[in-house]
Amino acid sequence: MKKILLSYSAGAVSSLFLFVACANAATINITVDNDVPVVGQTVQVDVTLDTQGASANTVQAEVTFPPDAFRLEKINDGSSAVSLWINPPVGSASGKIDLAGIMPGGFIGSDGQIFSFELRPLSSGTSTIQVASATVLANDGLGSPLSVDLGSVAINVDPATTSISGAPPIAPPVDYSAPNPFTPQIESDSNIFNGEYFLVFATTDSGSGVDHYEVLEVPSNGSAQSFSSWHVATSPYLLTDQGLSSDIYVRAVDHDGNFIVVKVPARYPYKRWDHWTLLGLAILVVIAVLLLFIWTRRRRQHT
Amino acid sequence: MNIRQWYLVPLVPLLFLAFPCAEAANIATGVTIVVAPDAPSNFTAVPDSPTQVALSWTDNSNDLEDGFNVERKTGVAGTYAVIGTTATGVATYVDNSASANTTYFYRARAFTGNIYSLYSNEASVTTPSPVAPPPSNPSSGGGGGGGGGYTPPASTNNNVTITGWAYPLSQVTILQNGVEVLQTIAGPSGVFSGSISDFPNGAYNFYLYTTDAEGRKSTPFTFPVTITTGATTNVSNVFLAPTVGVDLQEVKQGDPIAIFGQTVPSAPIRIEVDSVVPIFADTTSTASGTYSYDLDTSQLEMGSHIAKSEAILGGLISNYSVAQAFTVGNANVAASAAAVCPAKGDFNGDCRVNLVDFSMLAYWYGRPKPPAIYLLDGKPSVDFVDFSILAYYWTG
Repeated sequence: MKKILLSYSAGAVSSLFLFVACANAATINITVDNDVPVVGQTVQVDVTLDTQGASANTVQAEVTFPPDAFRLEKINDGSSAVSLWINPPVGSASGKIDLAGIMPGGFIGSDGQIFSFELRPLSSGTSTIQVASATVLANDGLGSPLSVDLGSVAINVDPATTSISGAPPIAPPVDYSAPNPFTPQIESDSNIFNGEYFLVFATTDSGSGVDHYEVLEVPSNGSAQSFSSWHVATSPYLLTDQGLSSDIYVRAVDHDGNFIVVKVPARYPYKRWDHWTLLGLAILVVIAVLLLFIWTRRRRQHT
Repeated sequence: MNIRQWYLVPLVPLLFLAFPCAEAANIATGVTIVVAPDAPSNFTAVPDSPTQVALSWTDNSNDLEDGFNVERKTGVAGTYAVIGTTATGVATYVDNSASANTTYFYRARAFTGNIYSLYSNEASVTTPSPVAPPPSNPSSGGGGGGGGGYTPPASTNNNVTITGWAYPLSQVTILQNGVEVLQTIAGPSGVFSGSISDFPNGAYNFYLYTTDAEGRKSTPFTFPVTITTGATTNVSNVFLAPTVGVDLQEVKQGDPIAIFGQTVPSAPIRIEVDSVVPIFADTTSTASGTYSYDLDTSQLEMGSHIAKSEAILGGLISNYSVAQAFTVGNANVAASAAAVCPAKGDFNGDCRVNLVDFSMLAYWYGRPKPPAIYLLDGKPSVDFVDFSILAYYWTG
């Protein structure tokens, strides 16, 4: 018997799932919190991964919805089983959401959240939200593809005049917490950015998910006037100051606007002149001027 | 004053010309210029609960500020007082001292030392009346919805404690969402324990591995944990798989091949070798956790084979070890020592596969003509398979 034991000593830990190997299939499921909404009422759509006992470490998917029937309101990739995004989930006007990411070490589970999104019905009628295509790769060191079942769900949108039956849907959680702390790293490699220094960073956000990153380089002797604006950035990010004499700030912003800023101190900060050094130099200059003055006077006297 | 001294007076400005930097100017004049941070904007206040108000604003000072002072007054006629201070770059604050059914006004200003910015805009909020207690598990969702409770802000008091068995005195590495968060050393009996604390609510993927005395890495042990309220989660009985190695990469058919590795002390080991008819062999680990078994290869057909092992501890059976390949042929060829560094994915040569390597691979994703080192599957462009192979060799 393969098992591990879990206990919860305090509070309400909602769930903890443990899984063991293994089979060779996976399912990407789509579920909605309300499959009979009225026009104007948002629907939350969850996209989850069931590895069916297999260990998977890479997932790529395209989720589609009819753009004339729904408007994409929001994407949430917080608390995702995907730790690092190759392509974070991004929606398009044509009703497609594409994503790709990895789960280092593999993921085995039947209900691994990949991401969720909110749709607002624009017209009444029945529409289908589906996983149009997907790839799930095994955590076997070879990237072997697992067979994938593609989930779908039909939503029957009532006209706006129809009264809402039952209780109104629960409002989705509001995220007030910033993304998790992280440590950007300065790296260089002859194969990346022609050997120039670049910055590497990533973090997670358990609430709404990381929306984007911004980078600010501030000369270590800089004044407020020398500050440039924040730049939206992706990792790896080519540093502007290749002398590494700037303090670097990286800001991770989640989908609800919360953010965290971390600082990477300048590796080679500008050398600041201390007072004694300056005083010594000033004295030397005065002496030099005096000597020059004496020398020129004597020369005039000789001539 | 004689004429020589008068002659020197005009030279004084030359000193300033010689040292145009700000520091020199400061010495000469004793003046330090401090720029006040810009005022925050877009200040908003949202009631989280009858006694909790979430505040947020826009930081306009490029994080040059030392922090923000948050002020509150009660009612229009009240007087503002500082209720909290945030750190540099932190533009959110939760007021936990509010009272139900009360109107508050809030504002904030940035500060650098004792220099303050102008105030932000003012935001007002009226906290709701007390309601019935929220459901014990607010995120469970499907409970019918009555009452319309609220979602409390994420707690940062969550802890996860993981205990289990590795190898005697082996180093156990724990990763959270792919990032190494803890290393701990197992005791002489192989027991290890580690705690990770102060992370927000949410779903996390934990990933543990250890290495044996010869540097072989165990099969990773992964599990997800979802926490929705502040809690300590204890995960116990984590039994890391044994390692496995062979003394010959090619063995002459009929000669013995040693299959060995490490696990907990004095544990039964089951070795499995794939063949037309799979072969199983049993042995027991020593007091140091090492084990070895000489397998008679006369029962194996010529060609490639894979050996793997699992350990038994009381009622627990570990996962299988990493598979170890060898060949049955016509000669004996010694196996090389265990690789110290990951076999693939370590692009920057630091013996680790982590975010740096992921970013380097991501750099070449979609770009033409990537160097061969990034083509982990041998295909001419970086694709998802390369990322999968990288994830397999991940060390954090």
